[in-house]
Amino acid sequence: MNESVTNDSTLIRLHNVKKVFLAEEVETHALSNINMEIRRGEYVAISGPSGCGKSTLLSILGLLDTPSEGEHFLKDEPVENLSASQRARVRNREIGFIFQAFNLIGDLNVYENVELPLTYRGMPSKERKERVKSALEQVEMAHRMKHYPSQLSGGQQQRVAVARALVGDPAILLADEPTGNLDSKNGEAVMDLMRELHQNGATICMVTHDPRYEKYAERTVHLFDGRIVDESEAPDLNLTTDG
Amino acid sequence: MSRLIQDLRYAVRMLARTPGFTAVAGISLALGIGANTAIFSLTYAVLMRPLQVDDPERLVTVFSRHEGGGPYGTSSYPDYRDFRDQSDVFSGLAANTVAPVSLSSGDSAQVVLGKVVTANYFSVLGVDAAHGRTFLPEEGYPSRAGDVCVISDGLWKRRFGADPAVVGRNLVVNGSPTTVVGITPEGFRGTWAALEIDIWTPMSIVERMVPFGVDMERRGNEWLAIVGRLKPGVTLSQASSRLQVISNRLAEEHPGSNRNKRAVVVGFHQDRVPLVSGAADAARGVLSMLLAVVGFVLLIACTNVANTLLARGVSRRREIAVRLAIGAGRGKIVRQLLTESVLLALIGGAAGLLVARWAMHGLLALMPTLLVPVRLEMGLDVPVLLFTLAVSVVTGVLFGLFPALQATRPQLIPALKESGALAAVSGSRSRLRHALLTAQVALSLVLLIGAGLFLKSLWNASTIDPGFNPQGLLRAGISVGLQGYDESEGRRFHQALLEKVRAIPGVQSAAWGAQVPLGPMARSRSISVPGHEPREGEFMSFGFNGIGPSYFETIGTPILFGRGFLRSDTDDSENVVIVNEALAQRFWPGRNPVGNAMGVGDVEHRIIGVAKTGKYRTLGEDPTPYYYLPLEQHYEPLLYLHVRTAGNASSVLAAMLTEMRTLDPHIPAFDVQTMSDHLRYARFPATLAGALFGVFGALALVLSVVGIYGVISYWVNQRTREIGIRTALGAVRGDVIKMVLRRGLVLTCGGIVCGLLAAAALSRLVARFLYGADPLNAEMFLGASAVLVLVTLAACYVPARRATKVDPMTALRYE
Repeated sequence: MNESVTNDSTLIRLHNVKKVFLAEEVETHALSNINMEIRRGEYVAISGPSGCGKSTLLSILGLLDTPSEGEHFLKDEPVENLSASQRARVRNREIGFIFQAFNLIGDLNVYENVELPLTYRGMPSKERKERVKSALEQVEMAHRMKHYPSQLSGGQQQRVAVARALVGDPAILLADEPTGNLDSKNGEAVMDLMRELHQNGATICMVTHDPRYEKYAERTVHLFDGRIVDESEAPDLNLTTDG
Repeated sequence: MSRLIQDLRYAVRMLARTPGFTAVAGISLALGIGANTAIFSLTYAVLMRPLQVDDPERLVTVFSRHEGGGPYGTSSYPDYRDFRDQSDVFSGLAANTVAPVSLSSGDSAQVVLGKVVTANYFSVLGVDAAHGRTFLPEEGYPSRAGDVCVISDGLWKRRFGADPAVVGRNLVVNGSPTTVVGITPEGFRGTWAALEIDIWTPMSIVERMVPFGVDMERRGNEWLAIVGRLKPGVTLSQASSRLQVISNRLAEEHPGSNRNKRAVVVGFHQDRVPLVSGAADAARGVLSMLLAVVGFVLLIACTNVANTLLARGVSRRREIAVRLAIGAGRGKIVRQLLTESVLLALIGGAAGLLVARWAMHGLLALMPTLLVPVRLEMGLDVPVLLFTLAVSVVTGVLFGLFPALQATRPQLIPALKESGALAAVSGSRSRLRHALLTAQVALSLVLLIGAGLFLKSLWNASTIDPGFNPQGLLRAGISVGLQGYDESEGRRFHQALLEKVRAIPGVQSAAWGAQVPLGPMARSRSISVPGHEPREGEFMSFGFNGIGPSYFETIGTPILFGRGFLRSDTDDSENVVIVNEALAQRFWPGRNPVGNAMGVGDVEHRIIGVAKTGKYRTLGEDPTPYYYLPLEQHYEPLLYLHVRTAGNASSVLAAMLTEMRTLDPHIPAFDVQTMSDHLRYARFPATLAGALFGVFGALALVLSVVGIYGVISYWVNQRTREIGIRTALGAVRGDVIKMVLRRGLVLTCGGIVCGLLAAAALSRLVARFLYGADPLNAEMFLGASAVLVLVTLAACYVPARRATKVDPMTALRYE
């Protein structure tokens, strides 16, 4: 994250976003009238009980899904009506995903996993190599470059997943329960890593239902039955930026 | 037993629960097993159908083998007699020859296939007449003793309505009354089940029966097939040694005819079709190749089903884990899974019988009309059904065993915990599936290359210059010998008919010839060339034809030097001969041999012409030395009338037959057809191979498409999550399609490399069946590979498209 942080500049804005799933003629309102903003350099947590719509919201933020209604702006550009390939391109350049289940590809080694988003971007090999190396160094996994995911511990896999999310220099990191598959020690380590990234300027939006990790974020958005029911700041965690 | 019934019941339920899988697997197996059944049925009919003879294991055939000549030579009557009288290893030794026979009735005559046999023929085979008797010893040599015949059960039923009073009645055989003394048992065909012999006559009337005329006592006249029965306790090698001693003695006593000649004894169990020179080799070669081809098709079908079963094994992992967890032994589960696969194979086998029936009809439809009545009793009889059953069971075990062993080796805890949809594939199972696909692609490529080569060969066969012009050319076989004409009567008839035919409107020219080029019969005779001393073992016997004036003009073969025969080339003039270009180049390289002398047999002939080299035995033969003798100097009673027509060939044909009947209604014409149709016979091996390889190649391709599609579909299903991840990371539709197609090509490329190597290794085995096609034709190898690559891309495209529809949300929700 090299760009300077400007807390007041909005990176993502959702306006009256709704998401309705239709299954066997039954409408399920996963999200209702979501209005929220994420500013550049901000660390936001989305929390709530199971089934409250956290992951759906994250999917819409990550352009993996589209809202049924409402507006979605990324860097002031409307993105709710983009085609599948346009969304793929935006995802590739602007968004870094960190999943609960790591979602590394078993047939690819660490280097190739991290390199993957850059490959889809059509970046020259030399530049890819530099970026991958740098991202892996950032998460302290450069020494495991040739290893396959099955040869790594859960914590190490998640660090590689973080490197993969970082490597494309995205505008925002979206983390979906990043500690969900880790023991508490490794979970803490990953959260520390994300805090470090944030302190270095990264914009992060994390879904969690674990109150222990909410406090890592500057701001927590509480969801319940598809609605934002509360937003809270974390005053004890002052944002420290380079700027 | 109750366990088996339980396994069967469960297997039926499992197969019924997945009708799509059962149908696709069943159809794949039906095609594979059906093709095998059809080709086995053909093989059985040609080579394996048991002979209706007593104790065939002790029957042998005695061949005469000349050094440098063919391996299946016939023998002269004196040689036969010496073998019979001087050896003590046979309880009986009989001789016989095949001959077309005219059966007259009223104003019409019919040609059937007959055999002239020594009197002991039936006793050596251990066969008694079903009605009447067989032959008496005194009927075994030319005499007035026996104008008798034995007829087949088939002819008895067909022509005489199974009237028992036929025994003792006279038939007009080759123009003379002949008494029926016996009827053979039903199903008796002599020594080759595929050849339909209708009448047997003894040597007593050999002169009347053999159209080319025989000189019984001439040792160089080799026309008899010999069949013997070993004495109890005598082995084949003892019999061979004994006959070798006699052969050596005969070579010393008769060096002119017997030098470099030896007797070869072959058991019937080694060779069921021993009595037609070379036929056994050719039939065995072609049928072995076909069996290998359909074996490949079945293997491809098996790999398809095995791959599908491996995939099913994954989806049934949980069920199997539960069974193992509650204490079922692995053996029991393997047995249950094998019951399912064998049941599936049996369903495929049952459907394969239908496929086989259609295939048999197709095979019979490909058969051209042959001069020799070949009867291929292809059918779903007991041995064929047993074969199908055995193939089905073996197939079921073959494709079911590895998947069953794999499926019963799950890691219990993960298998019990996981959801069915996310079942991971073990590395070894995945490797096995890929190995199967590689094998399948390799087999398909071998068949595709084979199909390409044989279709090319068929194309070559249809464009090869046979050395004559078949357009508008007719031919009809006419044997005045069958009607008992002597030489002068025969010559008068030939000339009279020729003049009448030449006068028919539409006839441009007509001529007699004793042989039809590319016909089933071939003769050869030794020649000598003044100034040429044959090398040790050099074979100086070449094919020849007896022809009349205007022969070359009529069939459309150019004379390169000199002239054709004239009516003035008679017994009163100098003996003359025409050679072909290949013979001329061999003995007079770079020179015009016209005017030179050449010995035919013991008689010197003057070369008066050189004809362009044609094809004489097969279309694929290399330029072969050949020569022609004038019929005016070498009379033959069995001739073919060749007629070149300008207009409607069929009306000329009808007029020709009418003219013949006006001359003598009792002389039958046989083998009447246009030379274009005749070429179908010559092209039959190429047509058969082209058609079968084409069909089986296409079948292999279809099965491969199904196989590749199945494997790639499964691969895509297994990678739903990976595709979701890639899409989340920014992969667009094209990236996903490329990924799937690349995977398909990587899997296929291994198979293509293996297939190319296997095809190159196998090509030499098929080289002898190809007409002018290089078995290592690079274009064919590359073309077939390209077809397979294209087919792979097509087969992968549907799963690839499906992969692009993977919703990353759904895929990533799998935890």
